[in-house]
Amino acid sequence: MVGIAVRTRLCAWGGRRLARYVARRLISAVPVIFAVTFIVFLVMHLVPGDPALALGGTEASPAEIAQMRHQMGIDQPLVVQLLAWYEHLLRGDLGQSLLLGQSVIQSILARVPVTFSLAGCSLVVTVAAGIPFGIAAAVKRNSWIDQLIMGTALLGLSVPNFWLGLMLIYLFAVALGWLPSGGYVPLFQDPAQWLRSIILPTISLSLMQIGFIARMTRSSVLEVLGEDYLRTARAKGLSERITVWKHALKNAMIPILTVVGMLFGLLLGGAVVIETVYALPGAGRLIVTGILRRDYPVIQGGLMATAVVFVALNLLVDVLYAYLDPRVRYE
Amino acid sequence: MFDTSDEPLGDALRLQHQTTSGARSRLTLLHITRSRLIRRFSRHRLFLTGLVLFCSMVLIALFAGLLARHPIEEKYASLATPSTQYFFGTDDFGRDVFSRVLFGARISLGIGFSVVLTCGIVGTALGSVSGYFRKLDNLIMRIVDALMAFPAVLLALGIGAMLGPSEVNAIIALAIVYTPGTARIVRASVLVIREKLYVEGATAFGASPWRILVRHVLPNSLAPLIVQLTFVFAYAILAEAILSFLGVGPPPPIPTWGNTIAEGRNYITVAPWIAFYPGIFIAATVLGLNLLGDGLRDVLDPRLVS
Repeated sequence: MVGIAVRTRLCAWGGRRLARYVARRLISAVPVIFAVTFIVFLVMHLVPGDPALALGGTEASPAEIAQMRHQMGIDQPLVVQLLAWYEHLLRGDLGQSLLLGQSVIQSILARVPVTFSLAGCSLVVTVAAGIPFGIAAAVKRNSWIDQLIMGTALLGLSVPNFWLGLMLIYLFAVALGWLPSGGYVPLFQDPAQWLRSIILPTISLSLMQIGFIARMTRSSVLEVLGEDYLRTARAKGLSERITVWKHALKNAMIPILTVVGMLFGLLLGGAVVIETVYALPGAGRLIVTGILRRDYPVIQGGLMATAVVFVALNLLVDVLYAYLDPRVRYE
Repeated sequence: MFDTSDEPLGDALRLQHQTTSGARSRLTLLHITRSRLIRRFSRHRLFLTGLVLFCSMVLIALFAGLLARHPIEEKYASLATPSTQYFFGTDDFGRDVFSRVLFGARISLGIGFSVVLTCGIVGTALGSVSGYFRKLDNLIMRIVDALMAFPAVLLALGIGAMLGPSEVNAIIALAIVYTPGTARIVRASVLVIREKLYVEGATAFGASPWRILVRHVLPNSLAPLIVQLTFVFAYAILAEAILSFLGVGPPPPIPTWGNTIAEGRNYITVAPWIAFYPGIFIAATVLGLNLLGDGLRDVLDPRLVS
């Protein structure tokens, strides 16, 4: 009885610690978000010369340019622009696309499902392939299996994903004709076609991350395998299998899980170029076309949105880490 | 590279090196350590592979003019298949892809090297100010956090797009993106080194903070910095390729690996070689740098599990 009471009290105490940790992390994210918004503002004002002039080109009349400057708000002093930027952000307003005739938020949200299905599929593939490969390499350390896996992982890390995408298009769409070379079919419209449209982009986007996760997993498992408590596990007569699967992996998974959390963010970043290669109508492609067509509000909104997702993921990962590894809460 | 007298020797060795007075013993110690380092490097097969790969790329970049069989702007038969005449075929304008890929090495490695140099200098400066002098630590680290809150390539794309497509702007964009990570790594190791006994010793001897930083702290935090910069080089090459591919890098007709692949994309069905070869060169360079980075980490920082 006493034992149970003590344990519940300890748990409650741990929970309070966790809550306090989460609160502290949330507060520390505020200045980061603030700095992020400021950086986006700065980046948008890096344009040498007059963005309206750059946008209007030589055909636009001075009146049109002035009108455009007014529309973009760049005829105001910088401080006013900065304040206006924050005011809009607080209202969740990322402005109006110059070319799409739509608000930036709307155009991003409309394309998010494509990006998320690509990043989501890639995440699943990456985890399903990367972690087992990493474990296998660690367990069979220095064997030919380890060398093969690590060699392939390093190769995967070195191949540019957009180029891999093009080569896969050539192989599977042009030469073999098995899969479409691009385009997107929504999942709920036709699941089979959706799958066909997402396979190649998913592979292109995952390969590099698989290599990354396999390497992470290997070193994390190796680190745990060298710990004292594993020697204890072996010494008390546990089989190698139980030692590895029950004792080592559970502990090795903690850092890997947090990396997986960050991975989704990385995949979102990578989706930008993969969506362009496969002509997928996602948020990444929106940003790239925004860049090519100098649709400044779209670039600004795209940067802002990805950074916010990134920070949120970071936060989630930290909290997850603190939940899984109580030591973190006491720092 | 490892001939400087203040290479990272490990703390034990450094202590030894400091307690032994006189130039002779100091020389002997360094000599042993240097040959030991060289031996460790020369036994690391993957490191050597990386070194060979990377050095060949550097040689290709340096001697592109000699190796190229045709001038890069000269127009021949359009979309000719790879042959003994045109090793990598020709593009839609009829330009020799082989020559353009060789000259692309010059652009890519040049940009990569400039980014590494900028990151190294600015990152070390920021990391030292923040970690050693503990000035503006909070501010600098918050800015670093914020810059690292963006997916690297996306931020570089945004900055590059705003500045306009050019070589220098690509370097600026990539340096802004990769300096924060470098600063963070320098800060982390400086924070550890500044608490060491030999720093305390140097302080007791009345050495100025600057002297301690330059003579003791920075040299000892060199190992993680070198490793980091090797990887920054690899990332920068990949990111530059993406920038060029998306039209934000050096604009055509400057031959970059990225914009050659972008061009090849339009002809992927009829002339896949245009996109194929530059990609192989990117992968080989990045692989070489990754191998180098891994090898450097294994040898210079044996504490890390490899």
